[in-house]
Amino acid sequence: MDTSTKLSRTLTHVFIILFGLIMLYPVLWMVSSSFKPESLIFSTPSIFSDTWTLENYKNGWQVVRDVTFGLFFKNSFLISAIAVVANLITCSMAAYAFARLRFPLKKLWFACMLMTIMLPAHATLIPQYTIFHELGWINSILPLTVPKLLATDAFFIFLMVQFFRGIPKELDESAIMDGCGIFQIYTKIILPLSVPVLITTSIFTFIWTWDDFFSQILYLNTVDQFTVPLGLRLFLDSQGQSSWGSVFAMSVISLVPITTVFFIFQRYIVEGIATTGIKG
Amino acid sequence: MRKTLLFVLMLLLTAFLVACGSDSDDAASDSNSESSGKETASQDSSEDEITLRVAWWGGQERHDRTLQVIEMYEEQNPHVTIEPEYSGFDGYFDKLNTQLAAGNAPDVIQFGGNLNDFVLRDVILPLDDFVGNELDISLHDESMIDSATFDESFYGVTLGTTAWGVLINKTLFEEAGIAMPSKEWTWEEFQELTPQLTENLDGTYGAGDFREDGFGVFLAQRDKFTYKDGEVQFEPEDVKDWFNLWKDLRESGGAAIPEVQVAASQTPEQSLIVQRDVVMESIASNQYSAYTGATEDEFELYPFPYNSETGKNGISLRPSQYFAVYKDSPHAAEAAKFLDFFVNNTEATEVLGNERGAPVNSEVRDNLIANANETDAAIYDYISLISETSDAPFIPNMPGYNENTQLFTETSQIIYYDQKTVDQAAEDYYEELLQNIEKYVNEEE
Amino acid sequence: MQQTANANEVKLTKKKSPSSARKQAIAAYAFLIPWLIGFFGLVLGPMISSLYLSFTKFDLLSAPKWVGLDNFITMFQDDRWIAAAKVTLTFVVVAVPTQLIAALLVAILLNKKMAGIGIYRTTYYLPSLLGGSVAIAILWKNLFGMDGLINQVLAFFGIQGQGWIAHPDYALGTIIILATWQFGASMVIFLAGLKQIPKELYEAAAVDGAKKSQIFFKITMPLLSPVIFFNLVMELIKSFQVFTSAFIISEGTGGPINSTLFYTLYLYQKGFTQFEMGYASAMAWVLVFVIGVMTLLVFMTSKFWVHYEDGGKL
Repeated sequence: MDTSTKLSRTLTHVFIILFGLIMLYPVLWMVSSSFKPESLIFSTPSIFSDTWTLENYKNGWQVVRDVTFGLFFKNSFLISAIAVVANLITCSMAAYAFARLRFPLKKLWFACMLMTIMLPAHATLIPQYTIFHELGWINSILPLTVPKLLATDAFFIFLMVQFFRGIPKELDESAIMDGCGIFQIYTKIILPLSVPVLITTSIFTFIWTWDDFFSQILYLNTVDQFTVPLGLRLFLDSQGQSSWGSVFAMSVISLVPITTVFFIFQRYIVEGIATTGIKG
Repeated sequence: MRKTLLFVLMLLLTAFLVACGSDSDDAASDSNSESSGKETASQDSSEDEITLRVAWWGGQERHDRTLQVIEMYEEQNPHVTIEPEYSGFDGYFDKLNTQLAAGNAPDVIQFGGNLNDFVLRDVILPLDDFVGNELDISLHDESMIDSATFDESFYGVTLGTTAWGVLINKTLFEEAGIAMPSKEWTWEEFQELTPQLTENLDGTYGAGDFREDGFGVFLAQRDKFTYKDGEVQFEPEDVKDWFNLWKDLRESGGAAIPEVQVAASQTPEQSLIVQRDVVMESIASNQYSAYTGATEDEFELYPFPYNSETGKNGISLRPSQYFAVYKDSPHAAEAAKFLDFFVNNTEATEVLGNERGAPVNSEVRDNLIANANETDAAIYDYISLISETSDAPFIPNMPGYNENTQLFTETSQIIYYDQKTVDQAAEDYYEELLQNIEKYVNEEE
Repeated sequence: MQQTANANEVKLTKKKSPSSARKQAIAAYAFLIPWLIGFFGLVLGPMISSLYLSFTKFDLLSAPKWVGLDNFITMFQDDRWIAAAKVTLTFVVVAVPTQLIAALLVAILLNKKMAGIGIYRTTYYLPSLLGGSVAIAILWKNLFGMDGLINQVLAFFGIQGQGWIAHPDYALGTIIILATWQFGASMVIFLAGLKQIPKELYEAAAVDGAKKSQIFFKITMPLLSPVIFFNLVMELIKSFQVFTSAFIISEGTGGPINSTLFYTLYLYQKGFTQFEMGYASAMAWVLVFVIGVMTLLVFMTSKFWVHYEDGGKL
């Protein structure tokens, strides 16, 4: 390695780290706040503090009475995991049809699908709630998971369509020569070659479901069903007394699973799995 | 690489199955507890088993105390199972509106100053049939009963009494080397004090804007009222006077500059006074402990500065929150019984304490005052100071509570940033306010 | 590139026979079954009902009252609606390109094999992980407030700061910065897109002695174009609907003086805090119309710059 590449490498690192600090600042600040006594969090907002305490973690974990934050983690995890599996299967199926197959009314369905993303959620909230109420699904995870099983996340369908269309069609044809049917092209060609986008979908679905406060507060009524975002808001009463220390402590803990998921899976987005072999 | 991925997927799947498994366990234990509930009920066969859904918002402290009272109630009334539906404030009313629209609202619902808007929209059950039977309000403060009475029907029990006041950071007064004012101070003294405080302190202003709540008190000091007997009882002139008062305060350096004021959060813990941006701020007395708990400075609660001409401080006692019953509740009488327990029972109110404000039942309140801690004692003292010094009547919120509060804030900001003159902004405010009120009242006719 | 794509298509059309077309159509609908059930069972109904409500006066509780086009007419005389439309358009025009460019540049920078790259990527994604967390609102005040970090840095250079977040002229700017700062999602999608570009093309170009800029414009950009297209369309839609950041930072008010009153925030206020669901629904459909037209425009331009491996026809 000559000196100029070495220098440019070092510069890249320095550059990335400097900007990374800006990215990291809020998390550092949150972590520092989570260890401060509650009477200091807002009266001395600096990251550095003389007094440290674990009190917030203790109070935060023990939410109310016999309910601990662990329950919320369990519920969130369940909902997010189902959402990931559901989105992977049903969105990729729909995307395969849109990207690779010819069928009547295709453009109409595609436009319909895009339109579902364009309407602001607040406008359809009440009729949607009414449907789930009629079905008797309120206060269960069904309103949060069944829609994913029915590929209502058009974002991911569209995303997968774009990636599936990037896979050369010659591959399909050689597969047909080998005797593959339409279903086998989907399972043997399209899916294996789309690992980056499938991983992307999994990461986003997991994280976005994990963070989704609004639909969860709407459909979950009792604390035994509550998820992490609802648990965090349980500490907060903008009209009265809030436990900000607990909020920060539990926010830090709730960042751990989603950061881990991202950290583990991000490499597969970029490295992929055995794709180059087929492509080459 | 592929192995790691597979491993992680397996892990996810296992965890998923485990979570599902334990979920069904929960369901099993739930049904167990239900069946044991049935057994107790069958011993007490005169009454049917019922479930009451009770909804409120709050923080950790409120949840803890309320749940404890619910447990006490369930113990004493084995045929009643209470399903608590509590959350933080965020999303509480969005969810409630959706539930009301879908006909799926809880039986007992906590409201704030916006109770009137829900009564107007005809979703709250009048409690008159239960008063004197299931629900005893004979020892409740008259003004609190009035506050929940619309068109001569009574709609909700007050969960706590509160009063507007000026919170003063005593520590900062000491640092500024200025003596604390008397509790019978006037606006003139206030105008003199605040610039001095700003002057003597680095990066701290004398006072933060008293906002819409302060305006209501200001009007009452002049025997005028925001909204009483179904109409607006003040003129554009009063609005101008209020905004001019604050404009002068800003110009003299006494009040926080716009950039500081506008960035202020509504949340007590993030307020200007806690962050030492201002020395004084207007708050509701039931928020006192939220403010004191968020800092190491020492705070004291003062009445508003007096109007030196009328000699009034204009403060009235107000309800902080209510419990009301959903119009289509299948168990209205049971709900009323629960409300009665919640506000009148000695043990229950001891558990609840002052968290939602001073209790509305006078006997209960006397009991609590006798056992109060330091913070609570300060609040009770303040409430009794107000009862002694003020004859201002209770003023209900204007119809269209949310929209009008926002309009007031917007008007203040327009003046802060000189987008309109005070006169112009005040007149525009008044005009739009009348339109809004008409809109909300007419809608129901 | 273009030529191979065309060649593909010729080959394909030659092969089509009526029976295989029918088979494909049946298979396609089989693959679409979950989506079709979801669309007709859960999505379409609420959409139609909100369209109906947009022609009514509806306070959420009483029966909706038909008012014809009233809601739409009121909208154009409503000063706050006009303010909201302006705020949103400004946001779209500024935030969409900034965020896309930032995401693309960072994605290219982080698409390297080097020590600790996973940690870097995670770090750059962290702001997006925080999402709509309450902590963001507090943090933004700490950064852009009067005594905030930004002003402290400016003061170091002798510049007198502003109360950025509280000033009607600058508040929107801070939200645009927030949106740009949360570029993580687009970045990840770009990373996935970069991965799909066959390495052989780069190797071949290197052998031919192409310059870095040539490689970028001749290989990276065209092959990444479907993904750029996706990000552009989605960012556009998302920016027209931006809600959470404005909601948490202004505590739901859209202040100071409506300077951060985003379209969907106003829609929410109308529907849920002022109980004018009919008006809110009408606002929603006007937005659908605008987004629809914009998306259509982008789709129409796509044939000039978006390159698909499958020949370019949907």
